[in-house]
Amino acid sequence: MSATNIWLTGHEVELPEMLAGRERRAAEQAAIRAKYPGTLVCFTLNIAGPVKVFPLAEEVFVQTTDRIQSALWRHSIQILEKRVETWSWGWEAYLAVDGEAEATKRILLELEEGEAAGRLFDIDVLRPDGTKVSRQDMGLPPRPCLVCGQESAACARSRAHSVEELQEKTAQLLMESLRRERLSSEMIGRLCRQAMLLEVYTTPKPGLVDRNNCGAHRDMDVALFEKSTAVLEPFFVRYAARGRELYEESPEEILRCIRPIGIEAEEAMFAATAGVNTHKGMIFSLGILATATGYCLARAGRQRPTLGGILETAALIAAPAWKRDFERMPEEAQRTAGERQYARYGIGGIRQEAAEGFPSVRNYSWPILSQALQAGIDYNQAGSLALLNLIAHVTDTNMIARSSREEAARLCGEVQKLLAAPEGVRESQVLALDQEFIRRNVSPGGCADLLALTYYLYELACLL
Amino acid sequence: MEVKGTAMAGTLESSDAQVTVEPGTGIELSIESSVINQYGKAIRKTVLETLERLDAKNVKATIVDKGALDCTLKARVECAVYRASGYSEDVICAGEKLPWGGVIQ
Repeated sequence: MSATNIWLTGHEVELPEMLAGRERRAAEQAAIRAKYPGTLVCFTLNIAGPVKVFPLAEEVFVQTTDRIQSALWRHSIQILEKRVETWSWGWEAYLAVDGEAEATKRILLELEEGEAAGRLFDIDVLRPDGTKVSRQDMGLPPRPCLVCGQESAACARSRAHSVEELQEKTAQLLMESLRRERLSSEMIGRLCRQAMLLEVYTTPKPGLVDRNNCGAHRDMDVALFEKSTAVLEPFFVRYAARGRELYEESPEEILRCIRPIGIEAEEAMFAATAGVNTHKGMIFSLGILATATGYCLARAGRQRPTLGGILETAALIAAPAWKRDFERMPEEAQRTAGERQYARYGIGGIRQEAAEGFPSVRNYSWPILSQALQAGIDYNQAGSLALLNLIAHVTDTNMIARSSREEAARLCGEVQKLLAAPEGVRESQVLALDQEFIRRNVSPGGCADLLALTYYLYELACLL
Repeated sequence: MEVKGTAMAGTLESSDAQVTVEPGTGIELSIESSVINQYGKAIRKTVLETLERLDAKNVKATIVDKGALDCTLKARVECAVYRASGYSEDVICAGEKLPWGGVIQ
């Protein structure tokens, strides 16, 4: 699966920042050696290109740090002090150990050499005098290039391969490595964060906050979404972990168990955004998907669940929020746009979507997004197109709430016409449509949520 | 720029270079590199050009190169010279924006 740019989106490190980082690392090593004059292990990931910090790399770093510790423990080497640091240029783990340097390096070389992704691990072992135990000291050849297998130092110096080529290979190795490991709840949280960020970064989007403008919104922008996303990530970790714990329950019983997480998440979101609703819909729908993912992973044991199975489980979990809640809701309790519109027009909105296993995602956005990404089209274009297809087919309660049923239907028609237009003229038309949505103060927030769910499912599919 | 004392920049990590400069008579270069056969001349040229651009005339420079790209090498030489001329660390390490290339560490 080609998915490089859905993963490698994030802060781009500048060279001076990275060079300063290397000097800082050398200084940190010297400081630790001053305290523990024995052997020092320093682990970093070797990630090509300007984006160093992203979910796949973070998970592999965490898992590999654990494996280094277990390997040392198995060989009765004690860890005297452990420091883990996160920087814009990547993660660093420092382990002061009581083992002899050469012996320690030999043990850790098994991790570097033992799997394909080991090529991305830089596990340096420093002797008491500060010199590095090299691969050559251990009788190994210099490291091979990621792409062509020749000596990597020469390829790096001559820039024999493009950054894109190196990134593609890096992402593939990281994904392969993660497909063999247990998918952690922390990783599910990271996937949720990435999916929400990709949604807001996808540009252009009619009426919605994107990198061009704030759409039909006056109270939010990309920075506010980033803030809200960061605050919500731990709650998605909790949803996934709770789903795992409840694997013996029937799915219909789960919703009431996870509601408290949702309530807390909403409070945290409103506190972070000073009362602006950036992600309330996401907390509900992505929360159910994260829970279903954890539940299915636990039930599958050593196997991997299928995406279809996760969606079916999500439907069963969400069912009580649909029929049971909606049909019994008295008028005075109707607080959200979705609740009012169900009472008035019988439109089910996101609750019905979830209870039916997200048919709009399966039918309208997933096929477009996954095909385009696999064909190597960048996420921005792929996501933009998937979103238009959602707007054209889905009755979005957010659109109706901010205009009228008739107006929303007319705008849907505009989007359908646009999708029928040849690709070349489409882009300028989307920009024009964005202006029309803004003028009419209409925002398809429900479809934006469905796009984020689609990104989540695509990322998940890469790791199943 | 006048090199007044001894200063160092860079590390011995792969894809980096450790540059030490001190006052000298004319320009004296000592280069050690893991890719000396293929790139010895290129490294020499980059170092000399950078020193010339900084107008550093009496310098003894020692380069231990671990496969640094030209942009990295240039930044390390600049940084060492600035430090040896008494500029504060902050000025240097903020640096100018340099282009990204196919860096493998």
